[in-house]
Amino acid sequence: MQEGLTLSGWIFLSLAWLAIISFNVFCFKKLFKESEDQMVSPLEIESEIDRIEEGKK
Amino acid sequence: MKKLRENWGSKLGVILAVAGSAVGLGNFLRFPVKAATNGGGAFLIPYFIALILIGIPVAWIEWALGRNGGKYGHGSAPGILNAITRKPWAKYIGFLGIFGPVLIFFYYCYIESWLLGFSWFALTGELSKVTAEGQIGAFFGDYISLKLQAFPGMPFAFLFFLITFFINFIVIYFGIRHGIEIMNKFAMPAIVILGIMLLVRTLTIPNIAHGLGYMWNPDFSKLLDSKVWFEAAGQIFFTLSVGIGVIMTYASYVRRKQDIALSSLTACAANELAEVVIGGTLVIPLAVVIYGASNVSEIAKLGTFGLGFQTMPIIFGKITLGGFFLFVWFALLFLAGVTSSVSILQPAVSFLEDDAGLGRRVSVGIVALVTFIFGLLSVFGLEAGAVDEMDWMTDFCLITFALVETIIFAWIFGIDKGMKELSEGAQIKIPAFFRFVFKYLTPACLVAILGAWLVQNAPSRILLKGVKESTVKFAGIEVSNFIVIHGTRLAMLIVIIAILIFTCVTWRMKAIDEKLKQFEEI
Repeated sequence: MQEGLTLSGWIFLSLAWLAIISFNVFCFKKLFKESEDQMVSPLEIESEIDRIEEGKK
Repeated sequence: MKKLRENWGSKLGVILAVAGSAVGLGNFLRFPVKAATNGGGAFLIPYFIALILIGIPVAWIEWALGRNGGKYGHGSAPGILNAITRKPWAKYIGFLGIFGPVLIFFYYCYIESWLLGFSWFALTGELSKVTAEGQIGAFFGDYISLKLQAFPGMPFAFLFFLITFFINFIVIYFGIRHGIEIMNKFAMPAIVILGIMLLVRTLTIPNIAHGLGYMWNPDFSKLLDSKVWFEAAGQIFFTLSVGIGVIMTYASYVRRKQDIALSSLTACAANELAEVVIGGTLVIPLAVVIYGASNVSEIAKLGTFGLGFQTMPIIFGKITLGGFFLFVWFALLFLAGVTSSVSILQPAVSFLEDDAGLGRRVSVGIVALVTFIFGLLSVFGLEAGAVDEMDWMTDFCLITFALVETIIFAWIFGIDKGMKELSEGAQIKIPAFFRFVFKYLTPACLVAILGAWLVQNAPSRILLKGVKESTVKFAGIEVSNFIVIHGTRLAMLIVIIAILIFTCVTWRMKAIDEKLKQFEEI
């Protein structure tokens, strides 16, 4: 049994971490960049909570 | 009269909820063992291929079907599939999307309560004490067999089960926005923080490179074994919580033109972070450092419970500040468990609220009563194999339902309408090749997984191969384990029939209501 992290082990570990962390950064960055004018219109099936909150405003 | 239905308070809320549903014990216990025993780093090759061909597509399909069904006021599979296909049989197939999650809850809540219990014992120092005495195996055995008493007549396991059950239902009672969303907004960041704490501690242990090597050094010869590809596909499938019906239910509360494409991808990304980055760095590398590489395969054979509840306390007992990190470990797992268990309750509650027209209190009450009664089967029948029975039935339901969803999306709803639904409000463009993936590749992969499961697992499970008859204690009464096993099967059948009858009655009542309304209008 090989001991320690071999070069290929380092490569797989690094690539996996890089891929997944990049995947997360990409997704969350795009998510938080959503602009106000992209907020959606109310559902046809209304939510009572939304109506109450609009009334409060 | 317009139907009142909740929505998620924010897009981040639904993403954290779906990610919370996905992140569970499997991320930290199942994945590392699967990866280490199936080629190490090389396992990531079939794993990522399965993520692209099965995991992400099925997740997208569930989100799309869910949001579409939500437009018609449906929050669970029977209603959603009925609305989408307009076929009378679809609502009955939809029972899988209620039975599957409810069945999981029957035993998941109990296992989750062990994590709460062990968090408590870690906090009080009891766990470190029994570990130092070499008694952790006996302690765990006594705990789950209800021998450890909190006070006379109340086993610790049952006490923590009651507390965990109560926590789950309090969250569910407060609903999507004020219950599930708020809980996940606290729990998911906490999971990340606790995970990073354990990650940093692990990476600072001397000789950890040996452990990381065992986990990550690739063994490419394993890729020639088809079993490794099935294991990777299975791991992706179960880790993303697809095929349960939960994502479909959660997505039904998403606003009509709100993005689901990026949301789904983000939830998958968050799950992979927990699984590969955190999960892939903890258990197996630590086990190698403490026990040595030659003993790890024996440790892996202990299974998820043995690894989590017996091996990890021993490992933490040998490192500095181990007692503290033991608490962090079990707290992490408990939070991961509760975000998942709450999600698997929601489809049944949504079904009762949206389709049966019952109020929230009554819906939550009915689900609580049913899951409590059947949950007792897990508490008292664990030793006899009741949980194993529920577990294999769950596997079958999940794979089958995922296949059903995929076929309905691509072939009955239609791939053009499906892609249009997915793209509505999307913040990212779905690559065109996914049309081919949705229509052919994903169903083919799911058929292969289901086929492999039916051939390899079904006969031995159904025929109880390797299970010998023995006498066990069920709620203090000595019975044959076969009685408990067959009793569990009967109980599952009763639940299935009850759901189907309830579905039939609910739709007939709706049809009568509509006819009465038409009559009144005339």
